[in-house]
Amino acid sequence: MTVTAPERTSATETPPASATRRRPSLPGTLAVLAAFPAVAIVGLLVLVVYLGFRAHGQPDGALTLHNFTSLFGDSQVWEVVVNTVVYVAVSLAVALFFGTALALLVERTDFGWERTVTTAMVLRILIPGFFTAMGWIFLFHPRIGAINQWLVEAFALEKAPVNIVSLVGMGFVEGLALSALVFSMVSASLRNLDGALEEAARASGAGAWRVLRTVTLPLIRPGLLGSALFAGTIAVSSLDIPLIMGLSNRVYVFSSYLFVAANPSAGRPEHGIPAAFSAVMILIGIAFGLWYQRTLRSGRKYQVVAGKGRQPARIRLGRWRVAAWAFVVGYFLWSTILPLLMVLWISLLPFVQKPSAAALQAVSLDNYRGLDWSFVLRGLENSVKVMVLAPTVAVLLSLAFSFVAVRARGRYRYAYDLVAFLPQAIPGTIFAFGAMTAALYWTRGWYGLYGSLALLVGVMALIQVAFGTRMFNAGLLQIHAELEESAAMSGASAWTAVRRITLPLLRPVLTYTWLWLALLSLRDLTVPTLIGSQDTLTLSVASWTLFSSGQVGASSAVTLLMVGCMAPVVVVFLLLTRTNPGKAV
Amino acid sequence: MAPLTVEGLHQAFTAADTVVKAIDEVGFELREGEIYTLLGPSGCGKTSTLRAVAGLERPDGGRIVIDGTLVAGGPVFVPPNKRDIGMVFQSYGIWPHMTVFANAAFPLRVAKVPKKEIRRRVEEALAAVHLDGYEDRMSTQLSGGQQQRLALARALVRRPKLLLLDEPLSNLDAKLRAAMRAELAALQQEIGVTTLLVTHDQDEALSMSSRIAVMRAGRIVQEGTPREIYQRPASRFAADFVGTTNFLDGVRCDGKRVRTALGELDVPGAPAATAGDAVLLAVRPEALRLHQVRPEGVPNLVRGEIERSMFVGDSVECHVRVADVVWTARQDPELPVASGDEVWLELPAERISVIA
Ligand SMILES: Nc1ncnc2c1ncn2[C@@H]1O[C@H](COP(=O)(O)OP(=O)(O)O)[C@@H](O)[C@H]1O
Ligand SMILES: [Mg+2]
Repeated sequence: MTVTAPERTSATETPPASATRRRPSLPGTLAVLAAFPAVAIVGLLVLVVYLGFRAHGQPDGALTLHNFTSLFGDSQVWEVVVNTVVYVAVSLAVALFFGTALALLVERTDFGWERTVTTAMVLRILIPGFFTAMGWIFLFHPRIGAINQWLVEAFALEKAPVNIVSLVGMGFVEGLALSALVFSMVSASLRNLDGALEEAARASGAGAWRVLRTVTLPLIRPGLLGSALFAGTIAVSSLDIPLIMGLSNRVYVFSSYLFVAANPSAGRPEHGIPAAFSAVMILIGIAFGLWYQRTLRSGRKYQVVAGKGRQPARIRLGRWRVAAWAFVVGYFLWSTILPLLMVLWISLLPFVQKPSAAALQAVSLDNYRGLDWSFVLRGLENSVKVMVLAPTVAVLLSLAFSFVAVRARGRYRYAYDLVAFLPQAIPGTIFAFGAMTAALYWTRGWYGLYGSLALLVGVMALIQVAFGTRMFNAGLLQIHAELEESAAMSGASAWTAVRRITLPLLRPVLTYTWLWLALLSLRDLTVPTLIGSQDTLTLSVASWTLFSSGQVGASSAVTLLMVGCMAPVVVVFLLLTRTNPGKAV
Repeated sequence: MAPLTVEGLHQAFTAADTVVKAIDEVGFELREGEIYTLLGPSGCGKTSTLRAVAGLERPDGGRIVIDGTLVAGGPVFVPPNKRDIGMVFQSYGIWPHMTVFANAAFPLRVAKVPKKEIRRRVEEALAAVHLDGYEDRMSTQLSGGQQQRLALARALVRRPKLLLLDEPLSNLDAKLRAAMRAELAALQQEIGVTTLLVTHDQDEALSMSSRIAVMRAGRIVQEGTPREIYQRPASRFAADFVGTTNFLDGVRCDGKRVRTALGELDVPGAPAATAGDAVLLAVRPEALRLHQVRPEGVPNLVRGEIERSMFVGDSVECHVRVADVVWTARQDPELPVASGDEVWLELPAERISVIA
């Protein structure tokens, strides 16, 4: 039997006046707003690829394949390609080894000190790459490196045993810098893994190593892959270590080659080959990105059982504890403490000397006193502006992207999700390069953006959208849709519901995303160097400028000042993420 | 004027290239002050129907009229915040960043009601659900049952025309659920708000509703009072879904008799019935009378053998093999039966449902 509603006369029905006037839906409005940055992200990439097919990368240049043939044909350029591969491979190997080993030690053994190590690792991420690079140069440069000098003296060697300013050395230092990032991502995966899976393997009689190899590592494969992709992209993208360690002896990788080709000391800038190189990078980035997303999706298939797992019983270190301590202390000593002390030491000296009683006589604050303070203050002012503006813009854009990606109904939301993911898979250098070229050729005039702070902030924000969206997607997914629908049922409009319910619930995520991006903005050297000008000089660029002109002591002083600037923000950040210091990454 | 009229409602979802008809020609009308229940198995489209009434989902077709105002139909679509409705969600949707008071006051604040009035009405609403004194607690400090009552207070504080409840008791443990069932029904009666309830729990539906619509695969298959639904199921599905039922196939001999494999049985009279129609007989376990000695002069008697008897506290459930099927008979717990006993089952004619 089917019940049909009784016949009714509709004379009494009066549609309310507002009913027929359709307001645009909230995700719809945001989709329109987010379309601008989405077009900018895609547009920059399309532009770079387009320039790869033009002579010298000039928009009005002749159509040519020459850029691509020289990429693979020209021996000088080919060397850069090979260098880049070696450099990224070494970085990834070092980063994955140290990051994963430390994460396993902290999360799966009875080593203890979990919070301390995790917090130290967060701090490690925030230390600028060029800071570590300078520290390692002062330690292991074949000529001026203190340890090299000691070793040569002690063992009467003919030449320095370690050359850190080599390709492998650069990769090693970059890898150390990235190991903290890998640590954060891998330990998050380990924490989310249901411990019962590993305990079941142990109960089946498998030893600790075997469990690690056959259960733990395969299960965190998506996390490992994600951190490798992330770290790889950053390694390709970052300019700081390749500039500081490679430029003086002409060891070029992708980012430094791109920088030098676009800003040659003599002759005309070459944009064509860098653009072709970037086009290849874009292709590789997208391919890896899609592969990663597929792995994530297939990883989710297993997750039905997992949920928020209990931690498995920890492996007893026993007599290996000493070795574990040596590993952890050694890691922090060499990756952070010694480089930091060396930079501090050099900043107190008139010229680079290894620590000795004689050198101690020369220690003074002259470098700080002698700083060109107007130069430094200009840098500080710009740094503060960038540090406030870029994350603010990035957070607003990311919110719009995430709302569309998570809450919209239409299929178009997948497009937004994908576009927001692009800056994570494609080196930021390429976006900066595209923006620089675009600003150079097409925005001359009153709307000229070339060398302006607005361009710098805009590009940084676009790149940061990847991180922001990742955070907000996760945040929004955790807010049950019925919480927002309850607001609608209480008579609140969609905007009111967002303002009164969604945003307040999202506030913790908002705060630490903002702070994290602010810190990354401050330490970034890549984007400001590529698209900055005298007007947008930031502290990081100021430090690099001093270093490249040989004023190493002053450069060290500026770097320390910058780290000092970060300190209060870092403290706020650590206080806010106190309960879970690794959460932000 | 009916508080809610739904006519010819349609809604389809596309998921992984298959189209699911979540709502298929659903129509019903609520009477002033009643609790009308959509009852059906999970996935039959109850929540979809409720969400269409709430305005959270825009239906593909059909009309929804709330208190004489067309809110959905043709080009008209009134968004949820413009409909005069209170709703309690399955997850309650209590905002964790607000106090109990702020949660309950939200609808009034949005409506820009004066402060003093808000305080008075919220206190009233909280008192009605026995949450007075909890105003300043954070909502996360409430237990499940308290959160459920807070959700109810929030839904009612605006004094809506219509109250929508989506499986309101499903997140509570069994004992609390039974207590809240009575409390919710009492509160609804006190306030007199017309209520549309959605549940897959037959006990909840039978005990709380004025009328029930049984849903299956997006359609309403039977509508009636709890008694009608339980005692006169109109289909095998309804009989099976609501309670336990013993089925028996048969063919009509005349208006009052049906021939079955167990012999001819008397059934309630149906003057319009034609002889020769295939029918299905349904008898509830508690309607069966079990005799250990063959009674004399009793019609509708069938012989069986006890396969298993299970003592369940307030009754004993006997699984009786009758010919080649096993029937369930619910009897007084004092009945001394054991497996293998020969018994006679009496099917009182007035308690047999004849399903066409
Ligand atoms: N947003 C949606 N997208 C796709 N399918 C849906 C959606 N909402 C409901 N459905 C499907 O519609 C059917 C009815 O769902 P629902 O109304 O939630 O059932 P009930 O509340 O009775 O359990 C189910 O098959 C469900 O999978
Ligand atoms: Mg449901």
